[in-house]
Amino acid sequence: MADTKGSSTTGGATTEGSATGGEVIRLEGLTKRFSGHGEPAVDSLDLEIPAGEIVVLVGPSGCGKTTTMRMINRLIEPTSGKIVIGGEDVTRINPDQLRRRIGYVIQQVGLFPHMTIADNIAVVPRLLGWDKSRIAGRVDELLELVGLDAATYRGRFPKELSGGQQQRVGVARALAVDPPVMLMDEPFGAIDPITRDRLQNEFLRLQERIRKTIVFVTHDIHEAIKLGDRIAILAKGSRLAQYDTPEEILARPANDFVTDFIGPGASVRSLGLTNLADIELDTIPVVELADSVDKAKVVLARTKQDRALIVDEDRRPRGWRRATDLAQGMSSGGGPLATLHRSQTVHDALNELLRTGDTIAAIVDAEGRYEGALRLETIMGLTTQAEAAHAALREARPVAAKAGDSA
Amino acid sequence: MLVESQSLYEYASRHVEDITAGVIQHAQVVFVSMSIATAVGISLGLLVYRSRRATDLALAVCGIFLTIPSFALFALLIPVLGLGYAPTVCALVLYALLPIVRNTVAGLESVDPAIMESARGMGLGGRQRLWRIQLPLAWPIILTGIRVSTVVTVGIAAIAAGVVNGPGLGEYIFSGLSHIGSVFALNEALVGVIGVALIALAYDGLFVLVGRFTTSRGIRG
Repeated sequence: MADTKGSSTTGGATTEGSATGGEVIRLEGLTKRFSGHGEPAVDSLDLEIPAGEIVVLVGPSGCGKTTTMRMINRLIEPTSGKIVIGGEDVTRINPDQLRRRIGYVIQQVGLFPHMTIADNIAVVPRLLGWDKSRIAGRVDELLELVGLDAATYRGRFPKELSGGQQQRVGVARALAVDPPVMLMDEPFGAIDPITRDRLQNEFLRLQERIRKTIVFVTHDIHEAIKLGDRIAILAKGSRLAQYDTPEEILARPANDFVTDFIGPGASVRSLGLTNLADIELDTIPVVELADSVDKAKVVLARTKQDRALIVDEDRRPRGWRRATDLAQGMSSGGGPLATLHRSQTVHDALNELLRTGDTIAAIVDAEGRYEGALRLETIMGLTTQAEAAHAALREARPVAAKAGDSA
Repeated sequence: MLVESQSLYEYASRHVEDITAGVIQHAQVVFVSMSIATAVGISLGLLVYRSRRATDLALAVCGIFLTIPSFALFALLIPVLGLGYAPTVCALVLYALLPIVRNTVAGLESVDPAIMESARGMGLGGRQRLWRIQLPLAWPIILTGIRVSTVVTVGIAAIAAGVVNGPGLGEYIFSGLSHIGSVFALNEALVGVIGVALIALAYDGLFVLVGRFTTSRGIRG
């Protein structure tokens, strides 16, 4: 998951295969008033969704996030305001034509039960008059893209598929005519947690390849943090409480509403967004496997540390030389060793330390060579920094910020 | 009294041509009536299903026809349509409407809203959604309505013979009943009753086949 972060700013560029990238979506003063309701469901929302990014709309139920999304393909007609996709004002164009250019995935999937999987995917290509062989080729290509064997599944009916498989077909169907924009309304909401996690990971890998502009609605902040290149946290009336990257939102929530919404443990979650490659590692004494006991004693005495990391001739971590062992004349290193790769996150390191019951983790590069260490205290420092930022923010805003009031 | 011991079989074989003609007429008037009722019933269902009030009104009107005893309804049609084929078809259509309209509405309403939502979201227009998605999914339920109506209609068509001199096997039944005690009375009535029952069974079987061939494997139970 972490490896997709920050790498999706190149949207709009055609990547591999026939896939076209995404297009910018701009919402300008978008407003929806339902008759009989005083307050507008969406109140003059301005939002720019960059090409090729996943933007997650998240907020408490009733905040207007789904209404906002459904206005983009005009399943709900805006009362006022403008929707601009790829520079074209689509607020007044034929809604059916518009929807054929926008992939749409909903929580209940909504596959057509009387059609085979292939026919389900082929609906929009047929509407657009594609010829048979092109449709057949596209169906197979899409099934493979979402990880389903085309020969096995194209002739099946939706009822013969599991929930997770159905949602994959739902995504394939939305991608049928390679639309630049996809709207996804809690697509993984009705799927069991284990399958959901797998589908989310697959979805991120898929987006790496297709680079669509994706508007994703969820009420689950964890899902938003995991999937979003950017997150729009919405308060009642679809008012933007904060619109930023997950890292920024976790580190610097803009107001109390955001702080409350992301909930406790934000600082720990933010560790999951920090790569070991991005932080300054600790320095600890290192001895080589071939070094004598005396040399190890000298090193420990000089650095005033109680243990040194043993590395072999390729600088791979092998274990610990502890002052207590040396005092008893023992030369072998003891205890399990928490070893982590630089591409892993601080959260992974914390997990590994808790698992091994140790306080120092060894960090290695791609070849497994020792690069540096990470102490438990350092991790604690990182979280307290984040907590302090939160606390400072709370003190700096004794009166709740505007966006938080209504919620 | 040699003829007294004549069996049903002997009676039937002696009148095989007349009986065959009666069966064909009977089956045919039901077919014509049901074709009209199906067209009218489904159209009416499509027209009203979106509005609760229109649906209730349509079902109430169709329901009234069913509450009129068939004898009375046939008799009421005589001043308008006279005797024979026309009043028979007209009455049968009126009787057949309710199950078809009711099941058309029920079938269309039974389609999962999520399916209609995704169809709309994919850019299918109103007519495309109806013809490609909603009607095919409602079809098994609509077909059940037509099937129920058909079987009922086969029976009511027999009554038409007695009241408006309609076509079909009804005349055997009425003739038999009016000559109770005479030589052929029982055989006549039996030919009529058994014939009507066989036609009903044949139509029922036909609908099983039609259902198989017109329902997608994806929505068969």
